[in-house]
Amino acid sequence: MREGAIQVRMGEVRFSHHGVLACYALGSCVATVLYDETARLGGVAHVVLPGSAPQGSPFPGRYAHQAIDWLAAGMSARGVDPRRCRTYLVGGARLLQLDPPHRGTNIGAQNIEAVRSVLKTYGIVHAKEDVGGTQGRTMRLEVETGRVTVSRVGQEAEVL
Amino acid sequence: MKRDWSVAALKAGLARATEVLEGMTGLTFQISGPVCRLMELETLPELASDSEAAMIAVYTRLLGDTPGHAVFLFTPAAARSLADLMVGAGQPPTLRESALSELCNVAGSAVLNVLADAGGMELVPSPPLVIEDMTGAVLQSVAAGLATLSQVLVIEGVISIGGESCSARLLMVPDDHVTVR
Repeated sequence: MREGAIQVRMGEVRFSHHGVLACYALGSCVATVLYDETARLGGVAHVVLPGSAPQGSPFPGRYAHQAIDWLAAGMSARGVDPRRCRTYLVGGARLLQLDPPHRGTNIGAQNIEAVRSVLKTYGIVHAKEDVGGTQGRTMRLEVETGRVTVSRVGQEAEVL
Repeated sequence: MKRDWSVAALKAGLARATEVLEGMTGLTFQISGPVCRLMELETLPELASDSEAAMIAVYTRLLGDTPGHAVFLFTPAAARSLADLMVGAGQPPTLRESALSELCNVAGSAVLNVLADAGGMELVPSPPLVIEDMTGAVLQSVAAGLATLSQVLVIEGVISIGGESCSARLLMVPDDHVTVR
């Protein structure tokens, strides 16, 4: 159900105390979710690329380093310690698997590793994950309950 | 490097693709377009009306002087109908997929050859890749490879097949430094 959900687009970081935060049709991107049960606060970063934004980049939120920094800082600014949060990673698939010599880099796998690495610097090492593979996914966080669901084409949504 | 693609060459390329497809299949094809637009990168995955809907995408990476991406999008029903028209109903999925892949390869190459000849440049397509998944996930993966850009140029042709009994879309997205005039 898309009505009323707060869509987190590529390169965005969003927070909410209510409703649904959603990243639709993730391919190689990684949705990174922090959720605090006590404050009933959810934060989601839609990470597009691994690494850090180049100096002067107009789109720092697309990069794992800045996106996770903003996500953690946003939770802290709302009185929540990111280390206390439940953490979820969804996405990082490789849909465009071309044979050599046209093989591209596996951005999805790099995104997963980059997000894990930056989360580790915040002391966050235990995340529930539905990552990798070759299928697209939609991630929804129901903020009131903290329930995270993942849906794929032709399958019922599963609770992560 | 900055290169121009002309609308006239794109039109001629689509017309050539129509001829080649009709010769190859004996079916009637109509390809309208091209429609060219600049889009915010973030909105590329939303180009389909329902980004979560299942589609059959035939993806080709474009290499050469103006690298980019080409994606044919079919609804599953349209892909099935078209494959049945080409190889006969009740064939194994691998054969249907192969037929669809070949069709897109031939059509895409026809467009690229005309475009390359008109612009005096080299455009080399990768072998096509058939993907059945959320349209938005395919387009998001294309967008991720272009994530240093704020806007992307999208060139679209709409393909009607067999007297409009089924239709498809062809999207071409150059990496950068391409203008259409």
